Amino acid sequence: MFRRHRRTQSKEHREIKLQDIVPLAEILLAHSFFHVARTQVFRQHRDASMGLQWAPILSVALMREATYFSIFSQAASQPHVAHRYVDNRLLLIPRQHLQSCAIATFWKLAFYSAPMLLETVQGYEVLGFNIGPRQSTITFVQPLRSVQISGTSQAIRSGVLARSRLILTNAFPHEIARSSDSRFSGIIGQY
Amino acid sequence: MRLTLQFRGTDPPPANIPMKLIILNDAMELQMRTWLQGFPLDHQENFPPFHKAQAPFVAVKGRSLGSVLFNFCQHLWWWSISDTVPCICFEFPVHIQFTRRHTAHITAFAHECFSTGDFAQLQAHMQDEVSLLWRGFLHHNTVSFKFLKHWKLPQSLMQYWQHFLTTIWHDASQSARNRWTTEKAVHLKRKLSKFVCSPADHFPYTLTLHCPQQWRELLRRTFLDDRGFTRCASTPVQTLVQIRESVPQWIWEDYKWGLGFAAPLSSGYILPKPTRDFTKARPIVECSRAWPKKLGHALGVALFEILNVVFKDLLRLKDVQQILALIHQAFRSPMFDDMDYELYQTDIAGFYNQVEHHRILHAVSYAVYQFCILQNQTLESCIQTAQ
Repeated sequence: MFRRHRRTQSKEHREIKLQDIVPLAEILLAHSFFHVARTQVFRQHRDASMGLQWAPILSVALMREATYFSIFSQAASQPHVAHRYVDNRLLLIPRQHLQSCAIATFWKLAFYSAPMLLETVQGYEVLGFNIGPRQSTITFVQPLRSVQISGTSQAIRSGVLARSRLILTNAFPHEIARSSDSRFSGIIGQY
Repeated sequence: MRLTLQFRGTDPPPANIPMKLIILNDAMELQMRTWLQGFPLDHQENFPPFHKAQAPFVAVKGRSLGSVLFNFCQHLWWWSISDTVPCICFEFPVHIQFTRRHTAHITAFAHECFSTGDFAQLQAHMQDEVSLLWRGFLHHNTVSFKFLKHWKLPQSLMQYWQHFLTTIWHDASQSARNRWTTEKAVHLKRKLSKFVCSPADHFPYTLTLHCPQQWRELLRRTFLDDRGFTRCASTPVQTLVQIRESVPQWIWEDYKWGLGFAAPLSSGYILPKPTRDFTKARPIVECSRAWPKKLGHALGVALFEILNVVFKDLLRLKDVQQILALIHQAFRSPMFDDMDYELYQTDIAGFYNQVEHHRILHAVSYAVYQFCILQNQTLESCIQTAQ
């Protein structure tokens, strides 16, 4: 049925042919030029630039965990949490199980072949949160927002509430979450 | 309604697009709401018949403290590989000068250098809003008052809005104590102007101070590392022209929507790494306003859809919240209490600047073929993606 306006292709959704994905990726990688100062131009001749929209997703295509877990399926049945988040890896495991064959392979610093190498990171700060494996706690390590902020009280409350919700959802156990929440309630009370 | 308006020879009413205004406090918001509700009624004679005018608005954030204090962009802009700058390490406080470090020149967090007055507020507060000066407030709210333009009203009515802004500014400025004012922020900026001020890797809202020599050393170490980057002889404009000329014809025909050569070349900067004692920096290439923005985003969405099918398990946890939920689950399990758990972490070095392009392309190609097999598709099939 003709509805007055000619229907055109949506400008928000486009189609890419599967056969064009690799050539398009090749073109974008080959032309990864950028400038730093007024006149200094560089080309990144390895990897996709951090900042390119599709760079993080490439990690999944490149990484070898899928192959590993399909071969060492018993590794998945061990009592642990092992995960890679872009370029950070974390492993929460009983000490005595670290030397078990499957997970030891996964955690070797040469697990990915060169040039991707693993470097050990000290500390318990993971993705903005502080994990206490012995006490079974997760705490939020970001400081409270300053009270020196401008704007309507609704906007300020909304910002503080967002952090409060983040803590309530993610902190563990719930007593820690509730005590942090009461600190936020104190700030909210000022507005 | 639309037909009636057309019959009477008038235009349909404009869409109610909210105006983006800077509002300093609750009292100001109330005054603005009252004034904007009353304005169409007071000037009813200026509106065409049958029109019920509305002036919706939303509050927007002003400048952040970071946008005032960070000056690393200026240093980047004037950087040349051969330039020399004086060392100002002696300007850092004595306790910082005598702290053991791994670099020849000093880099330190601002809140560690100065702990008095406003300097104590520099940790994690770079996202805080800075209250505007009168000129900035008037300019922003005058430019954003698009109500007159939308409704095709005479611009002479703007004087009523500006007079109203003058009145409410006076009231608000009386109560604007205990907040970041432009004067305070500019005062801090002057005090820190000798240093290179930037955010740090994983600490985007915290101020880091660098001796200019240390900053240049980090730039050299990062961008002159020939394992990842090649220096080009052409200028940014020439490079953009060369890229445009080298794009194959088939891309122009099928994917022209993804290329925006009116936009500039991507720009690069660094984020010094506190976890490496500031001896290294993370290179970032800003593509959000560059020529391949749309195509890069579309390709990212398409690849996500493909990999979600091919490596389903790896994309099971999509964000930090889901990873934390998995740890919650582990903490709750009865097995957890019986054993002595430990947390181990590793960082993948060279993740963003060391892998050869052919290896990436092989991995993508493998994923596309696997997707075709699993979904029973041919390579001629299309995948829908967002721009």
